Formats: sequence, structure tokens, C-alpha cells
Amino acid sequence: MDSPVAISTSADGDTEYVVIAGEVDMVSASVVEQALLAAVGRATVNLVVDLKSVSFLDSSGLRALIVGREHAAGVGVTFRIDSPQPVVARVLQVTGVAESFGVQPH
Amino acid sequence: MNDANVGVERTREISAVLTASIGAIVVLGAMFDWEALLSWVPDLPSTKPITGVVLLLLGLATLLPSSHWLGRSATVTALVLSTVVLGFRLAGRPIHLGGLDTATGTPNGVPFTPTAIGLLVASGAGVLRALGGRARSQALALTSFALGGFALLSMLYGDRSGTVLRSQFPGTAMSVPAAVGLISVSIATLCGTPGHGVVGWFTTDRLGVRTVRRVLPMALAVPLVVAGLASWLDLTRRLGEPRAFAAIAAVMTIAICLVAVRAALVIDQMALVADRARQAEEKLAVAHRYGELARLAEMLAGAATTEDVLSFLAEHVTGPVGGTLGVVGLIDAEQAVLHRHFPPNLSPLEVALGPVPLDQKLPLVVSATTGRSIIVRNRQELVDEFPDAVLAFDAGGFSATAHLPFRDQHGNLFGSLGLAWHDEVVFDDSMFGLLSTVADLAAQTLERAWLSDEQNRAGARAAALALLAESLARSTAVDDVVLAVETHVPAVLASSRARLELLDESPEPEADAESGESETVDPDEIEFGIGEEPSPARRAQIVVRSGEGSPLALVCAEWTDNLPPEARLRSALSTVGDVVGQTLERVRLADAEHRLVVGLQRRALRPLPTMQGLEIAAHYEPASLYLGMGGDWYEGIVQGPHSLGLVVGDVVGHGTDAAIEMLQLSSVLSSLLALGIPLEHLFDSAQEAVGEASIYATAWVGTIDVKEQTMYYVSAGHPPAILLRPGRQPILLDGGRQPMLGVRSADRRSGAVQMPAGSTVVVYTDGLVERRGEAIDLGFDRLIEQCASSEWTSPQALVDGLLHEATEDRSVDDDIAVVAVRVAGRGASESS
Repeated sequence: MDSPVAISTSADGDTEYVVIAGEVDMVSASVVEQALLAAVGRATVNLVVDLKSVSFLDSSGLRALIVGREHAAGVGVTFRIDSPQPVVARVLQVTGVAESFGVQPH
Repeated sequence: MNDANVGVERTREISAVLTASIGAIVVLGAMFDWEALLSWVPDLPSTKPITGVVLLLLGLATLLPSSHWLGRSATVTALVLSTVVLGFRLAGRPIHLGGLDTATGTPNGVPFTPTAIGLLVASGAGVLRALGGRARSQALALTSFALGGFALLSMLYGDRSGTVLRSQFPGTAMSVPAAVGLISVSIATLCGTPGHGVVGWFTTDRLGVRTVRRVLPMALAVPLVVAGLASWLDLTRRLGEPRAFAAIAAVMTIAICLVAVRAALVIDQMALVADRARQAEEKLAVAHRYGELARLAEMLAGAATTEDVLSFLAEHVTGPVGGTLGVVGLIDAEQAVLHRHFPPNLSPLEVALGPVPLDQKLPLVVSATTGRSIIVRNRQELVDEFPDAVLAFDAGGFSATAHLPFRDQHGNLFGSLGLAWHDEVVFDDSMFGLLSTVADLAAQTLERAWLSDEQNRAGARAAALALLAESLARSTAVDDVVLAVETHVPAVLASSRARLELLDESPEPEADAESGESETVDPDEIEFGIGEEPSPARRAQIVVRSGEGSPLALVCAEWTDNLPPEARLRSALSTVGDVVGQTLERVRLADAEHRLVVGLQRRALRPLPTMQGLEIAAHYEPASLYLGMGGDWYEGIVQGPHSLGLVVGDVVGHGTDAAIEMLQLSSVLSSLLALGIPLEHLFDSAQEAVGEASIYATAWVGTIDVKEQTMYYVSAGHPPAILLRPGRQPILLDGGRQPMLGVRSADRRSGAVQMPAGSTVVVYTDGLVERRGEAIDLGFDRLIEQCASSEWTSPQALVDGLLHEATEDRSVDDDIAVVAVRVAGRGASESS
């Protein structure tokens, strides 16, 4: 049950970046969720989650993103998903959450 | 005893018998006046009977061992007699025990003084021999030998009465029996005197001595033969006395020169031959030893395991050193014994071959424990220092042994090599060098083999442990754990069997205390014991505990042969106990959760209601991997006589939490649906109903009005339903889309679609279409294609077909729920 996921963070001015790579599924979702919550804690104005290297995202991963966004909203930080692959973007659209993450429909 | 010693023994016996015989003949001749004897034995009448008595006594005495009381008393008697006779003689009163010559009126025989002196000296030699005075006894014996010999020679060189020499050396006259008897008793005494001395000189194997031994008989024989010839030819009468003497002297001189030259040549040649032979022998021996050493080294290099090395060593280590038996001892520090490895087919030494305690005083043990090289050159040395080892030494018939310690590369002692010889061994520098080379070779090979064995064993143990861990990690039920322990633990513990005994979930403390009393339980809770008949194997067991410390099970292992070293066994057992404990706990919790989730799921998945005009089929397929289970549900609600509400949902997450959230959400949605809340507000209301506890879920809710043949629906982030209508391509229903539950949104859309008779709507969860590494649209396309192409006659058949397609060639890691509802009417036959 290997679900390798790699997470790296960086900051640029008032924007906190979280770069996620790999597959976000049942096994790795909790890791992603914790990383997102930690980033929310550090962020001051903007939080950008880079999903361009995520090849798979299931409902658990989705939940991690939603939880992260709600926490961000709670502390007044904007939460945006950046450049998801089409596979992932489609999942966001099917579940009706794409717009709320700032992902434009194709 | 070697041949030379045997020869000396025989010489002593023969000389002693000869002496005694001469004495007896003299005595008997004097007593019985035997005519035959008188004519046969020269000089018998002139030999005094007292001489015969003394000779008889001395002969008997030398025939017996020097320590024999009878021999000792005979010798003393002879000494006294000859002293008395000599005393009388010197006092001018000869004892005429032999009577007087009737013709001359003079006493019989030659003057007695030389005989008496010779006998006295011989007796003295005998006494000293009996008393153990080696050198003095031999000196006296040589003196008496010389006296007798001179007397005999003087007779041979002169006429029968020895006038020639006697005129030069007065007082040497002796009768033939007396002279011969004196010579032979002297020889007997010499040969009967223990030790090296003169006899030793004659019996050694040195080259010069060997040569002298060969030439001496010639040197003695030549004068005798010359004298005998001269006497026989009556040279003195024919040539006149001085000329005869000169002729004899000339012949003798020539003869002796010839003998001397011959002797010199013999000595030279023998020296040369012997030297060559010795060199060749030495070279051969050295070559042989080194050949054997090379062979041993080669064989040892080919021996891979310690067992191989030990068997080779015990069998072949004797080759290079010419020994009879080789033994390899290895220290077993844990049990404080030395294990000994003997060659196979060892003839029974009548000595136990098993391990010996390290404090036993055997040379092999002492060498292994102290690092001393111990050489035992003979039995006496062994008796003095290692009395315990004498039994084996004697049983093996050994003449010498050597014991050399083994050291590893760090200089630590770990064993010893024992070698024993039947034949005599010369422990010279070359032998010492060879011994230490062999011991070093053996030690190095043993260490290398041991290290490699240990490496292999450690590798095998680690691999076995990895297999166990992997097998435990895959375990999802208690039975899997039991099987994993039975399969993989024996390799980890090097045991013949292992099993897992599950304890009751709530063991009674009293029972624990009782078992604690009967057995010794250490802090690690490892017990050692011996099994009961009929399987008296060695056993060990460890209590497996949960993280909270409650005992879960016992891992029991059995060994039919020896246990591994205890320290290693303890650590291995403790590791096994840990991993098995963690796994058991996980599996048991998972088991309990699984049962709970299955129970909750069953409550959520009630059979769908029936309704006039609708054909309804549904199926729920749990994930084939337990991990993904829980969260999908479907439900049907009768909203009126012609209206059926249908809910299909999927709660994010898994396990107990997801199952509970699912139950909560499904009942909320059902209630709201039954209350007639407009579909577009349904999800809003549901979110409000579940309150702060956000439930993340996708859901599809539809209401089918049979009379109107219309379906209204909303989807909260749920995969779109598929509508199949007679004579038309299946379509995805993508209206009524709202975000998934848990996400606030202002969307209030709902969808509506006509469902003429024969239409079928298929609602499902993402498990049916979602595949890793594939865009979800591909899944939708595949599903549409399957719906369009597959042969089905009822919604149930459609559901079954779709599920079959989805699960046929892969293990599904998510639940799947599928519901199909067909509006009855214009036949199903048209729908395909």
C-alpha cells in the first residue's frame, strides 16, 4: 500500500506555497491535511497549493483540501489551488468544488 | 626395547649360562673324575674345584636380574670364597682342594693366584652390579675380562702351559676353564649392568661404534687364529722359540695392519653412505612434511563451513607432522567446556570423547585456556604434570603428544590442536616450526570458516525476520498471524517448531500468578523448559502483550536439538514477541472495527422499496481491501403513491467514523426527502441538520414521478447518473449540480429529465468508474459504452453486468454502490 507523496513548502513575500507531488489517496491524505494546516498556520495573506505534480486525487484528498481551505477562511487567508493536472481538475469539477478553489473550468 | 638391547640381553644370558656350565663341569669333574670330561676339556685336572664353585655361583648370579636376592647372595658368597682363597694363597698356604699331582707330588694345576685375583675382581663386579654401581661394576668386570683374556692368550701363544708369556709376565698362569669362565662371567656382568656405559656404547647406532663393532671381532680373531695356527704347527719347536715368536709377531703385525686399513676403509665408506642416506632421508622427510602441509592447506581452503574444517582437520592434521592422532578442541565459553573433535572412525580409546570442563587438567584444555604450547616427550612427563591424561595416553599407546593453542586475529584464545605419536618423535627446531605452522593454519582456517558461518547465519536470521515482519504486515486477521508465526518464526529462532497460543481476552490474574510460581519467569517473560513425554524437546515461550500491557498470546517454540546461545535467543524471542504483539493488537482492533463497520453498513443498506410501475435493482460491493470499506450507501423512500425518492451517497473517509457519518447523513437526507423539502434546498438543509460536525460526502438524490414519467434530481459533487432511453444513446445527467456536502455554496440548481416508459436511470458511486492513473471521464465513457452495448433484460442484470465489468480484472480499493431503476411500460426488449 505504497502511496508516495512528497510535500515541500516555501514562502515568497506574503504568499505561502505548498507543493504536493505524487498520489493523494486514503493513505497519504492525512499527511497532506497536516501539511496544509501547518501552512495555514504560517500563512499571513495567501496560501497557494501547487498540484501540478499530483497524478491522483481521491475523495480523501479532496477532503484534505476542503479542510485546509476552511481553516484558511477561518483565519482570513485566501486558499488557492494552482495548476492541477486535468485528471485532478476534473475530479474537482465533478465534485463541484473547483470554483471554490479558484480552478477555472476548461 | 630395540634390537641392540635384545642382543645385549641374549649375550648376558648366554655368557652367564656358559660360566655356570664351566663351573659345573669343573666341580663335577673334580668330584667324579670323569674320564670323558677329562680328555675333552683341556686343563680340567689342573683347575681347582674351588674355581669351579665360584664360577658356578657367579654364572647363576649373573643369569638372574641384578635385584634378585638369590643372585645377590650367590655373588656375595663367590666374593667371600675368592677372598678367602686369595688370602690363603697370599699367606703362602695354597688350598689344595683338587688334590696333589700323584707323579710330581706338587698340588694339581697351575698356581692359583691369578685365578683367585680374577675371580675376586669378577665377584666384586657382580656385587657392585647388584648394588647398582654402574661405572665401577663395569670397570671391575672389564678388569676381570682382561685378566682372563690375558691368561687365555698367554696359553695360546706359548705352549699348553703358557710358558712363553708366563716367562715374561709371571703370575698370569690360569687354567683354560678358569680363564674362559672368567671371560664369560665378565661379559655377563657387563651385559647385565643397566645403563649406557660400555654396553650402551656397544649398542648405540653411531657410525664409529658400528664400525668398531664390525672390526673388533676381526681384531680379536686375527691374534687368536695366528696363535692357534702357531700352536698347531708347533712352531716353537720347529723354528726355535725366539724365531717363532718373531714370525708370529710379524704375521700378527701384518694382519692387524690389514685389519686397520680395512677398518679405515669401512669407516670412510660407511660414513659416506650414512651421510648420504641421512641427507636423503632428511630431504625426503622435509619434502614429505611440506607436501602434506600443502595438501592440508589446500583441503582447508576448500572447506567452507566450520563443520567441514573440523572434520578435515581431525582427519588430516597429522599428515605434515607424522602423528598418529589429531584432536581439535574448541572453547565453548558459555558452557565453560572444551568441545573436542576427533577423526572419524576413531578406534575406541576407552575414554569419553565428549566435551570436557575448562578447569580439567588435560594438556589440550590447559593449552587452549592458557595459550601454552605443551610438549609431552614421554609418559613420565605426563604423569608428573597431567595425571588425568595418562589413561588416554596409555589407551592410545602413545609415546609423545603436543598441544598448541589457537588464537584469533585479535589474539584471543579459542581452542587448541592436540597431536599424538605412536613412534618416537624428535622435537627439534624443524618440528617446532612445523607444529606452529600447522596450528596457525588450523586456527586461521577455523576463524575464517566460523566468521563466514556466523555471517551466513546472521544473514539468514535477518532474512527470516524480514519475512516474518512482511507476513505479519500483510495479516488482516488473527488466523493470518497464527499462520505467519508457524511459518516464519522457526527460521528466526532456529527452532524446529513454533506456534501462537491465543489467550482469552480477559485472563484471570490468579491463573497468571499460579503459572508464575511454578515456572521461573524473568522480566522479559521468557520461559525455558523441557517438554513432557512423549516429546521431551526443549521449549521456550514468550508472553505477547498489547501496547497497554494486557497479555494477548504466547509464542511457543520447540527445539529437538540444542538451543541457540541464550542471549541471542532472548533478543530474538523478544523481537518476535514485539512484532507479533503489535500485529495482533492491530489485527484485533481492525477486526473489531470491521465487524462494527459491517454492522453499520448493513443497517444503512436496507432493501429498496417496491413501487408499481418501477423495476428497481441495487447492489453494494465492499472494497476487496478492507482498508477502503465503509461510506457508500443507497436508499429508496416512497414519497407518495407514484413518487419514489432515491438517494445514493458516498461519505469521504473509511472505517467506523465514515460508517457513522454515513448513517447520520443517510437518515438526515431520508427524513428531509420524506418531509418533502424541495430538492434544490435539500443539501442546504442537510448541512444545517448535521450542524458544526462537517460531513464531507457526495450524494445524488432523485425523485421519480411514475405518473408524469419525469425525474427531478440534484447532485452534490456526485458522479453524474446515466439515463438510458429506448432507441437513444445513453446520456450523463449533468444537471442539478451543487458542490459536495461539506462545502458551502450558493448553488441551488436542480435538474429534471423525462423518463418515458422503458427508460432506466443508473446511479452509482465513484468506485464504479474511478481508476488510478486515469481521467475520470474515461470511466464515464466506459460506463456509457457498457450500458449501451451489454445485453441485459432487467435492471438487476444491468447492475450485475456493470459490477462484473468493474471488478473482473482488478482488486477494487473502494466500495461500489450501483442502483438501476427502470420505468415499466414499453418493453425492456426495446431498451437494448
